[in-house]
Amino acid sequence: MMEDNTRAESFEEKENANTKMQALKKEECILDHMEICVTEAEKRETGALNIRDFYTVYLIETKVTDLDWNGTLNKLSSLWRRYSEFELLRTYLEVTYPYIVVPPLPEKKVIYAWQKIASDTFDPDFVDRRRAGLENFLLRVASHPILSFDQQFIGFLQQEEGWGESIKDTGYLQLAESKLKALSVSVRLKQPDKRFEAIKNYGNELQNNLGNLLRVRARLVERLYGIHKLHANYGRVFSEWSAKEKEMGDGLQRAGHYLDSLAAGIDMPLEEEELYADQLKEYLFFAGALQAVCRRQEMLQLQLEKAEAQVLTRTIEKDNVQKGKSGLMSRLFGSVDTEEVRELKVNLLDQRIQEGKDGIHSAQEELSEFSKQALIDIERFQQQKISDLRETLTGYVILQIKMCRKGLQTWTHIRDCLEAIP
Amino acid sequence: MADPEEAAVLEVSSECKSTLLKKEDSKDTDIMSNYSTSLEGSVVASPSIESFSTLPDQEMSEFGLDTRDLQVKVDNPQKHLDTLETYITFRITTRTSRAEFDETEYVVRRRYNDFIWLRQKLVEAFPTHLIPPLPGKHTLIAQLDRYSKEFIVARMALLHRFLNRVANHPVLSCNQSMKVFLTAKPSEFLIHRKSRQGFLGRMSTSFHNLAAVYMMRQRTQEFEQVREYVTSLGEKLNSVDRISQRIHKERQDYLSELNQMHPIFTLWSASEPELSPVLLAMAAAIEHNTQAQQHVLVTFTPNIVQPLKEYLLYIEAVKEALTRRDSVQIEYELTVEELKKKRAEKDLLLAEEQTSGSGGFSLGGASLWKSAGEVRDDKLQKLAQAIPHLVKQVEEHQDKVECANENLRADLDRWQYEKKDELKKLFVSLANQQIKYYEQCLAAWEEVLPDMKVVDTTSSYSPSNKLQLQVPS
Repeated sequence: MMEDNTRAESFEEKENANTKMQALKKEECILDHMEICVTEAEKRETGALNIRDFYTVYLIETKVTDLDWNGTLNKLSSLWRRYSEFELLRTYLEVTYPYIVVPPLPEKKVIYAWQKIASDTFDPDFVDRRRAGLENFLLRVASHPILSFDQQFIGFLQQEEGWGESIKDTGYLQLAESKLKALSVSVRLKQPDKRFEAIKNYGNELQNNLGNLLRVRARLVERLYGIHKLHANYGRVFSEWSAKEKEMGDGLQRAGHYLDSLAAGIDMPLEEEELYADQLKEYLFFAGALQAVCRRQEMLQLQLEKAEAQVLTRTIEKDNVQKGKSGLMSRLFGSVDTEEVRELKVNLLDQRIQEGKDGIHSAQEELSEFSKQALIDIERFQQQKISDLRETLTGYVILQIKMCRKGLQTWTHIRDCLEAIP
Repeated sequence: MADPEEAAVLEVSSECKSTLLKKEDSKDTDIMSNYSTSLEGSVVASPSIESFSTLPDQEMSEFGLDTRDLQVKVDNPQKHLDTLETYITFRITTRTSRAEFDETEYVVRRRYNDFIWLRQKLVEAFPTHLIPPLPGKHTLIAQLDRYSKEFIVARMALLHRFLNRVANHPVLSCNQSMKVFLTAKPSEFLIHRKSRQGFLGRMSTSFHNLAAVYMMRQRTQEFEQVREYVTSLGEKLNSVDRISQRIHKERQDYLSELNQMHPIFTLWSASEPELSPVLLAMAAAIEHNTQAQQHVLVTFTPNIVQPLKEYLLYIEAVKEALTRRDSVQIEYELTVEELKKKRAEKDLLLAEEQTSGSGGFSLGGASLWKSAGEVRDDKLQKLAQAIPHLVKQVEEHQDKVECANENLRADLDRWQYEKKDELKKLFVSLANQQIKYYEQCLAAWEEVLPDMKVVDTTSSYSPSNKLQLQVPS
């Protein structure tokens, strides 16, 4: 009965989501009014007694570009934050806005690496890529209509001192622990919400597909790198050989130089390709965030189902008491409830049932509100994803074209040098 | 990709050999009909073998396709089952306008061992000429199965080139053994095959140990330089071969990764309704890349490995020719030494005669039966015979050396010219293969680009625009 109500609401929700979507396009975020950059990274050490612990800090610079806007923000600010602080921020956001697909942080440890990719956290290449990833994270949050206006987020950007305290004061840590625990339990629902089930499955598929893609791509690129570098060996042999030849010498030497350039020329494009891989990785992690939202929805639904089950049990109990059916114990020991006792019990149960119904009602509201908000944000996410992935893949294709043109050009030169041999 | 053709390509014709032998007395004017049963009975192998009937031997000739007065072709391999063994024969087709040949066209079948015999005969007949190389019995075996189509086709190509090189050589092509090889009917050929080999070929080996001392000096500077150059070239080509093999291996791994990549896109497109065209386009482009790469891999062995290996064999042949020339020179020098020694001996004996008269201790020595003087006279008499003989030998050997040098010089000049051409061709073909590969890949990617760039009207703000700025141009 109550379930029907919730289901009927879903159609309405869908309509609302669509109209909200239209509205979202124009919805504000702070990125409309300010610029955010993570410009530098520095290595620091904690001054602890004997053990010198190194860590990296990143410089966050902001500038308000829209002079007419909100005066409470600093016009300019710059401060240093380390990765763990970003993690705090993100956890806080997740806990505070559980129905939002919170943008992911760049990877803590390097995954899907290959030969040339630094995996040491202090390697300058790694640090630079992390810097770019952190900037991207901030931009994502800053362009979200809801997240971007969060006070803690703004404090993260601009509040140099005391941000760590202020975020603790929100009490999110306690919430975080309990919620994390809950998420790790697998849940069996009586009547799972088909929409969220579908989204959860989709998130799972996205994760698998991106994971496979990234894994194969890394191996592919490793081979490509090897093939190109081996051509430097050709270059060396040709150069040595050209010294021994009269008529062939010139052609061989020139061809040798081009072969060397073939080997040297692979580094840049592959560096560029890593950026596209990073963009795919972001969506791999996004898929995880999406699934997290679905699981939270499941938790709320579970809560509701538990509340409903409890009320049902109590109602049955009350029924039994009213009909005079005594418990087994009382039959055994032969005591029978008097009218008074029975009435007392019934009243107590009634009270409990009412409490339970109130509980159901609030759980329902919570679930309904959550689902509504979540679906809106998920839709926003999906649209963003389509646009982003399209751009990433297009960029990848353009890069491949560039690499093919380069290869074609070099080999054409090589052939021309060789054909020029008299 | 299992190719059923590769397993057992050729029709076994056990009847074939026996009919050839039995028909020795037949007066078939048309030699072709002699083999008609075998040709019809055998499954002429796949088109790719037939295509070898038109091997690019034309580059060998300086004058172009048809103007050579001796044209030879090796094709049409067939398997034979004997009671003792299984072997492959090849059809040798000859067209000639030379007077020393009775007919203008010949068709015979020969097997690999027959080629070895021919080469051996040529080496014996022309020790100071550069004899083209034959594919080794086992050079290709490490990679290929002995009766596989690829092996047979590869070997056949090399045999064809060998025979053509001989045919194009002004001196080698006139050799009697060559004529026999090209024209003799099976039974006649067998007789030639079984005749004993000459001794001349063996001579060079016996000198090598003695000549260790002589080797160091008096090698003609000219030929030493050639040997050095050729050795160095061999090293370079060996390096190129090794590098090519490594690259080939990396390419194979690359291909297997490519083959895993496009199905991922296809699978992914199933869960992405709006992105599906983009993802399927990616899958298609990658698949085309796979095909292009496949083609590179397939042409690797015939276009790169085999010509390289053949050239390395040719370099060995050059070294052998240089060694044979050295032997001739060493022989000459030994003879000169011998003459010098004998003359010195004679001078010494004559000097003795004058100083010591007929008696006393002397080089001539004394024995129980003769006096020292008599022994001396004996010796002088022997020397009087030996020395003129040696003088003549020295002259002969000197001629031989000059002749050998001339022969080798001429052959080396030809070889240098050929070598430049052939190596140039080899590497140009390598480059062309890569060019073709990149052209195919480029086309594949450019084809899908329009499918991806559809402007998205439904997207809201995109921080990915800011992402694009981060990508270095």
